[in-house]
Amino acid sequence: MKKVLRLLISLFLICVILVCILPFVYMILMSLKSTINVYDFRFALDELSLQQYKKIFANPSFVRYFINSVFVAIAGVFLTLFTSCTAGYAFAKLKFKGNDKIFLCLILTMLVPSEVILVPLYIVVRGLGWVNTFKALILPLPTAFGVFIMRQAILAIPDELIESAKIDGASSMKILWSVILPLVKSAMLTLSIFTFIGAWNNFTWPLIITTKDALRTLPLALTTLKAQYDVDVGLTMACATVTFLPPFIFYLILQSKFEAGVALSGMKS
Amino acid sequence: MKKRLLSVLLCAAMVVGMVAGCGSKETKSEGGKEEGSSEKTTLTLWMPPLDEDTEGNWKPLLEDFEKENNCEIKFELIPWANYEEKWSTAISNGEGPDIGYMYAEMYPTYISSGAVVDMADMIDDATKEEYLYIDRGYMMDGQYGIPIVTGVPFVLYYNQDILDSLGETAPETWEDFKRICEKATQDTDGDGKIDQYGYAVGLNSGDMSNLYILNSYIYSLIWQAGGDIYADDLKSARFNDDAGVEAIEFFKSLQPYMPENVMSISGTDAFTTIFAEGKAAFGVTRSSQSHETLFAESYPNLKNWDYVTSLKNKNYGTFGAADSLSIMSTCENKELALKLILYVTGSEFMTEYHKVAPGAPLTKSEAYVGDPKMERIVTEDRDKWRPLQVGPCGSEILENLSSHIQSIMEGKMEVKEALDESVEFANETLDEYWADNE
Amino acid sequence: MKKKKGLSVLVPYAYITPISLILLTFVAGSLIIAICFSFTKYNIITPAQFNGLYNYQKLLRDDKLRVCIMNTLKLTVIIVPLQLFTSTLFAVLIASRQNTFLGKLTKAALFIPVLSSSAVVGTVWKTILNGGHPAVRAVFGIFGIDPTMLLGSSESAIVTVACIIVWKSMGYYMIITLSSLMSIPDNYYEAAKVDGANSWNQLTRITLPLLKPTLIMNAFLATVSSMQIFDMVYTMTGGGPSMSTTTMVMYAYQLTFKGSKAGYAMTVSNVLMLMVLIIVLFQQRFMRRDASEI
Repeated sequence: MKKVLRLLISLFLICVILVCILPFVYMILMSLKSTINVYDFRFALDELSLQQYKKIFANPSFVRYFINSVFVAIAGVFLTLFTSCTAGYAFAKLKFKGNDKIFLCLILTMLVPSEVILVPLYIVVRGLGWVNTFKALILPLPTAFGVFIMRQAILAIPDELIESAKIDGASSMKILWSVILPLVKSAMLTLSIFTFIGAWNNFTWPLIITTKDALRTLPLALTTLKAQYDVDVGLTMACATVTFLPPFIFYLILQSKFEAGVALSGMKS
Repeated sequence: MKKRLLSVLLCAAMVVGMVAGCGSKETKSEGGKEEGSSEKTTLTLWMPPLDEDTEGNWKPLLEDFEKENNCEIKFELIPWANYEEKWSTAISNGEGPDIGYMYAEMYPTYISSGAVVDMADMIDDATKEEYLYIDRGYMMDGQYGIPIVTGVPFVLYYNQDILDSLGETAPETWEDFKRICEKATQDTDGDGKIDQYGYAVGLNSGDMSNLYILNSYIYSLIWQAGGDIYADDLKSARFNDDAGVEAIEFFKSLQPYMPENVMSISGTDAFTTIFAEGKAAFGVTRSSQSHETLFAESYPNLKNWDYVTSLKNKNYGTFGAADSLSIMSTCENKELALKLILYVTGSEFMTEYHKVAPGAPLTKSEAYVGDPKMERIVTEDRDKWRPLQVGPCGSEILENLSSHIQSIMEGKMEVKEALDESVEFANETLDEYWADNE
Repeated sequence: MKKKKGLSVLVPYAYITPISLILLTFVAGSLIIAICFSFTKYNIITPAQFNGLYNYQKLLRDDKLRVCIMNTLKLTVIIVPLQLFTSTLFAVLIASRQNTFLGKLTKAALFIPVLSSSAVVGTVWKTILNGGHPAVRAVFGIFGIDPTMLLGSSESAIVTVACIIVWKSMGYYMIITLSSLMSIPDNYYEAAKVDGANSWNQLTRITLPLLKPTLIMNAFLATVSSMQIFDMVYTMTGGGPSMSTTTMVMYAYQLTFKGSKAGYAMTVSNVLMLMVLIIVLFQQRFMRRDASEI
């Protein structure tokens, strides 16, 4: 009976895997077709072509847009990690006046929908004189969510570890760096991935805040390939694939470290 | 303790400084550039992608103008996605262009806010003669735009093979159209399911704006019935009058001849996956001077086709946008700006540009470049299509109408009921507007 | 001595300064401006004109707003329980298979939809549902559904969009639940086994209760994010058919950029934020508190 159950569950998981992956396989396959037969579902190898990708990469500025996006995303990740770990540590383990209240206020900022504050945010950024700068793309990236995650992770660390480090004479900074951070690696990695994805896929904000080609990010640049009434599904899918790949690769790279992180943090599997 | 506090603050400062450093580098190098070119006038031009490499195609053509007039043209390509958002945020903060490409739905707010310049006094009669579509840029009592992309109305394409097999010729009236649709909707391969439709229509608006439905299918019917969206004084909406109701009821009556999933697919999907695959007698899409070549290449299953520019009920009528270039009020050198607009819509520029990206000729001196089959749209049929009335709160009223059309086609509301509700909303909105703007 | 003590009190504040500065400037700053705008008439191009409580009175007469509120609530009510259920289910199933190939593959696969943008997901799924591929028809046919009609009807469109949103973020909540699961010490389960408990009992008596804080957190996150849905709906249905999938954020967005009524849009979004706040507070009170959640 147990074996049957296990088998059924395994089958179920296989279905889940398929449901999750197939749409992306479809996306990639569609991107390899030229416009003509895009709704034609024969996947004969001779009909596949890279012409959509050629269109995308033909643009000489493509490399610059790609680098812009990577730069903004990675800078965003570091900034978010820095701000979230420090604040998460303080809220979780340090005693100070207003700890709970301030944390609550920060969490409340998560309730603000980003699409609606586009116009006021533009006003704020313009007031700071940061239109068309990388600052404007990177600095708004950290959110209270990061603090939330890190605080949650740090709360789980036993106080005894911290106490014993204090007894050894470590300062709070040293405690953070040597004791706490190694134990929350998996949370940090999770946060990194989420931040990278968010920064990478960000479209409307970079659109509004940058007018100069030099600052264009990749998703933005890809939309300029689309003329008004174009129904080039193949091209759309190719753009989608190109936009999809970097976070995917970032994830694969961190994934291996992710596993190691979970092991190191003293959690049992 | 002091040390750590300091080091924390230093870290923070470092990160901010590092990021700030990147930003300031940008502004520094910009500043240098500005100083160098301060003797020349700079004109900033915002264009959307009109072809695969609009910037690449335009820049060389603009060089002559730049030399002749000792100016520099800053060309900025604004993607279609979120086009209006980009515009409004920029203009609200004084960061708009000198000249920009705008379309009918955008104009009302900009005109009533005084953001675009009335060029009526700046244009002489000779120019009006030469530029064929200039009167279509006259809206809300002013010459606010000069059309640059026009002559590509939405026309009714038909599948010649299907019509032949039914013993029919090109429809001229609504009765013709309906009759052919009815005959065409059938099960051609005998499997019990209808696989050939009369009219390939799609009403999902995810891909394009909600107004696409109106552009493709609705304005034409309303205008052919003799109606319109606004009353002449632009103070109220009239599309629930007899003509409007007749038009929409006719559209609804065609539903049995449309694909079953008409509500889920978009208009463009309906055209490319149903009509272009030879599975429907009629389909609507925006025409193009290169359709003959395009269809031959992309749609092998659509072997013989043609089109009717417009059916006739009381009148002819179908929607053809007149997207225009406008001068923004913040422009410092309006004469030069107008000169540039007339230059880029003029025959010298357009003859060259249309070789790369086909379009209708905008001036008398420009020769028609494109597929011969599509030529009659801009010659004998030119009066059968026209752009929208530009009126206040246009976007809002039309989006609301679009959503009511969807309700009607879904069977959730009756035609008269829905149109009345939509006009009520429109009138409320217009009342609010006119109360502030009298 | 005194000096040292004085400074050490400031240290925690130094730690929270970076994020606080950022959030204060960008989020709080924008929010304050937004609230100010909600009392004005603002078409974005000309400066805003103060018009008092007019916008708030308009809220009460606005039928469209009622529809959008219902849509947003419908989405939330479908999504949140589904998310909690699927994330917990997958986390539990994967936890016992972490070292197997299947377990690792499932974990990786579930995360892939999370990596892509909502716009891409919307476009791809729309093409899949409408494309009429025989395999797709067959799969949906098992449940008696015609995939090409899903996005076209007012009733099913919103459910379809909700399901796709759950599909997209399942991996996200699963990872959170999983790491929480992993921190439950093994000896709890060992002790339970010794006492004769079977898998089901272990699940309901040990796992779920200990997961409660995480579930509460997931519920909070899922609620906040479903009430703010925009991208997915924008790409898949444009808010239709007949406004059946227009969410509040989408409505505010349309008001701002298409209707040139940015002032009123801010009013609508203030209402949204208030609603989210109330729902979240209610949720927190309803699910009993534990030490390690908000």
